[in-house]
Amino acid sequence: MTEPTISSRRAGMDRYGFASAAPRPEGLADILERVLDKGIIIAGDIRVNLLDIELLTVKIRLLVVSVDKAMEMGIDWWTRDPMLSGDEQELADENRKLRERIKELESDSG
Amino acid sequence: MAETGTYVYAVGRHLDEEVLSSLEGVGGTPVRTIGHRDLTAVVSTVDLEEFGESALRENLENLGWVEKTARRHDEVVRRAAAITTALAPFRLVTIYRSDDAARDRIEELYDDLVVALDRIDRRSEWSVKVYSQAPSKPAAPVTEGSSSGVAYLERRRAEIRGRQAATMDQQMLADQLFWDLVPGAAATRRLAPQDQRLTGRRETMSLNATFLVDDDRSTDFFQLVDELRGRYPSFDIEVNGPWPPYSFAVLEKP
Repeated sequence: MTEPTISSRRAGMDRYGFASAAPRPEGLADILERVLDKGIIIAGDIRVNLLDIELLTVKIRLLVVSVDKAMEMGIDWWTRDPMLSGDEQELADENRKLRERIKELESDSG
Repeated sequence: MAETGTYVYAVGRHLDEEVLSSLEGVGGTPVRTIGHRDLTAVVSTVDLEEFGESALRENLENLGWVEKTARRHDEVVRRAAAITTALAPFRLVTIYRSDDAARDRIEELYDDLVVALDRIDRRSEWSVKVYSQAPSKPAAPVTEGSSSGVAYLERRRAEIRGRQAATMDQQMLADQLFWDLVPGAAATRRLAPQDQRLTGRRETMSLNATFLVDDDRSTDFFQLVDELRGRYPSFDIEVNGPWPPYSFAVLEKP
């Protein structure tokens, strides 16, 4: 039986895991899911409709746990995605990579 | 800094500025607090060259910037949540022209914020993700003449049907598990299950739910989770937290 990844056994002041300097395990997706979609949502003076941001509404949900981890795992397709990296890289190249990846995944689960 | 704005991380009660002022905010400037009646807003000053409307539109398309900002936002929220019992996080990049403008908005929403804070007081958020083992491949039926095209197609169809049925069964089971957890929490919300590329796991995420649990009942909640691990052996149940109550700090009317 696995223990939940808790810091709650520590009480009081540090209930959100700040007793130690250890990096928190939460993945980027978990954080974004909360800081973007949830919380008190009221209009600020600076108005940016997050729903207009393609990265946030569509792509982020597909991104890997964290950028670092993704890089470690060799997943870096977004760095070639002009929408995500700001670089004008050819989509064809990315498509080819994705097709290769799909083939790989298909043969994996074959 | 030419033009600046006031970035609001959260609003809470009984927040001690001194504890928070050692923290660095999203733009690299120190975290401060603004008091209003019995509420305290956790804020920092940001440069509008980075956090103004057009800059944000650009920066939010840059994953590196988004990750850095989201993690910093989350850390400030956590630090603040750790020193009080009731803290309502604000959404990322909630920015006002000045402290006064932020204070005006808080006054405007005062009653709703108090209701939200009462709801999350002495409670934390726990994330529960449930993964299903990939449905095992049904043994290929050995049929006569399996080399024929028709037989092949039939076999394929049966395989697909089998897999669909297995997925549906897992989904129903995950729903049942969710409802079994509900009595352990004060409130709950379901989030969209994350894509496999996100989780980095081969198993499918069948449930992505989050629970608002009384701080003094968290042990009971874990016990319930452990019980369910026994009752649902085909699932891997991952509990993660405590989170500041992001998913439950909501205003009744926006």
